[in-house]
Amino acid sequence: MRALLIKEIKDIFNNWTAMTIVVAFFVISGLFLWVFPDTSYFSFGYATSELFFTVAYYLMLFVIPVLTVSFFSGEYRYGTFETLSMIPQSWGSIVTAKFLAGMFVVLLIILISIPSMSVIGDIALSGDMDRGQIIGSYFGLLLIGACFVALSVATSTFFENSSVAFLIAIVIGFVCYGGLGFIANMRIWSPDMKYAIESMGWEYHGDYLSRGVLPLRTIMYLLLWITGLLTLAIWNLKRRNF
Amino acid sequence: MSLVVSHINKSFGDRQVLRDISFEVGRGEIIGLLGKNGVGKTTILKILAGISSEYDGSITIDGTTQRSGQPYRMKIGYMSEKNPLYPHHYVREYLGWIAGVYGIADAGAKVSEVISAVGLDEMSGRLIKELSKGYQQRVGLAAAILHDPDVLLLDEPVNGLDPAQIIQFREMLTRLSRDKVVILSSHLMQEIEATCGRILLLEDGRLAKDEILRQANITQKWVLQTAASLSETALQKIAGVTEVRQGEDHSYLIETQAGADPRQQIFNTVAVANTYILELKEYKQDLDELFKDS
Repeated sequence: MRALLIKEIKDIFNNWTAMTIVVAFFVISGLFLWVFPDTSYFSFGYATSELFFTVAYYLMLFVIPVLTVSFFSGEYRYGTFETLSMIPQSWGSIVTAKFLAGMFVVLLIILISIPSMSVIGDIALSGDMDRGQIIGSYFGLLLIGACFVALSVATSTFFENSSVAFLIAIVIGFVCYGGLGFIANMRIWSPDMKYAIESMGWEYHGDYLSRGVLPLRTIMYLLLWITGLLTLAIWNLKRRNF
Repeated sequence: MSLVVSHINKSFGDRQVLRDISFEVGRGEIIGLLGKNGVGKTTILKILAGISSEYDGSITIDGTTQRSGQPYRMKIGYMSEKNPLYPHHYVREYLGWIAGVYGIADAGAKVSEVISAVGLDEMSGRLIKELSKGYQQRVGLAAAILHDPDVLLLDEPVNGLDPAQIIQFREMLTRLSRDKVVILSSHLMQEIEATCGRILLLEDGRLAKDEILRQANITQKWVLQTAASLSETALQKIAGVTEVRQGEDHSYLIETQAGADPRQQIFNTVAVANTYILELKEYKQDLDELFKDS
């Protein structure tokens, strides 16, 4: 497992693509937070962490598939899927190693954002931001980032073409994260149905966590998504490998 | 140590690829797996490698069944025809990863040992994608033997190698096979003949022949052509000769007991007949004929 994990992390960062994408993440989020007139703190007139997390979720929707969607489609392309099929490691270990390597990217994004967050805290009018809210938001970012990684891993087991896998991961990721919220807001639903659809979306649960509360139901729901997607990946790999 | 393959049947949908394949192989044997394209050579190797587990029948290595998964895979080294490698890995890095996933203790030393064994010392710091086909084959072989498997499976291992590399490969294989079972699939009869002591010939998914090559030729044959006719009786009197058949243009096919060398006496017989030899050579029934006969 350790050897698998180290290889996957090395493979993500074996060229400049990964670092370029991580840096691009902060440049783009920086542009949204500090430069673009419609979204910057200067236009809002007050500093809040909320905007950063909103931008971060949508950027992760793109960044995570870029870096991780070739986890298995790349193995299919190089033929090394055969190598993975015969090493004395279970598919569970292989999928977990790839998932944890993807989580390494999420952690890196979180780590690099901390200085930016402290700047926001320094310029906040109140002089101090709600630490509970920030911790909750980071926890939400971690869990929803994990959902994006698990989705990317699962999608990559289905497609040999990385570009197709990337597009599918983004479409599904968008539907699961914010798309269900959009669908729920259509005026065709009864209030109960609207709530049911909205509460299935990851964004709904991310918002909950951003308020600084960590409801067990939300955590369990997102963990269920992660384990469900990883189980789907394992099932698909076993099915291919006969 | 022995590999026991018993009544293997395998189908892809309605198409049955392997039909009741059974054989047993012991330590030190190099087996050649022969057959036309599509007869199931790669399929049986993939099953033996533990990649495919959907089949009927049983495979064991010293009692460890193929379906046990990881314990079985620890006993197998497999180099597939496509020899899939990570092109952006360095040779040593890739082999280090293989050592890690197999849980090899003292991985660094073992990797160095295998790198030397397959002649990759000068290439160990290179990216795999920069290596020639021959060196990439060596990396594949190194990866297959790194964990010191009991059974080594090689699918078309000399594809793309030049003649010098093929000779080096044969030497390596002979060294490696001393304490292992080696199963080698190739469509090159010459290759099988040069390296294998026994052949398994697959035909239409069945095991059509299982022959020990050296014993398959219990008798030796010699081709003789002379400038003038000889008496068949004179040739038959030579020690060890069991049969003489006359062909066209004063040529003779002389069959002898295995190990007999009748050449000197043939020279004498020809000299006594007051003629001379145009050609005298040992005739080997090669695998091409065996293949055609099947």
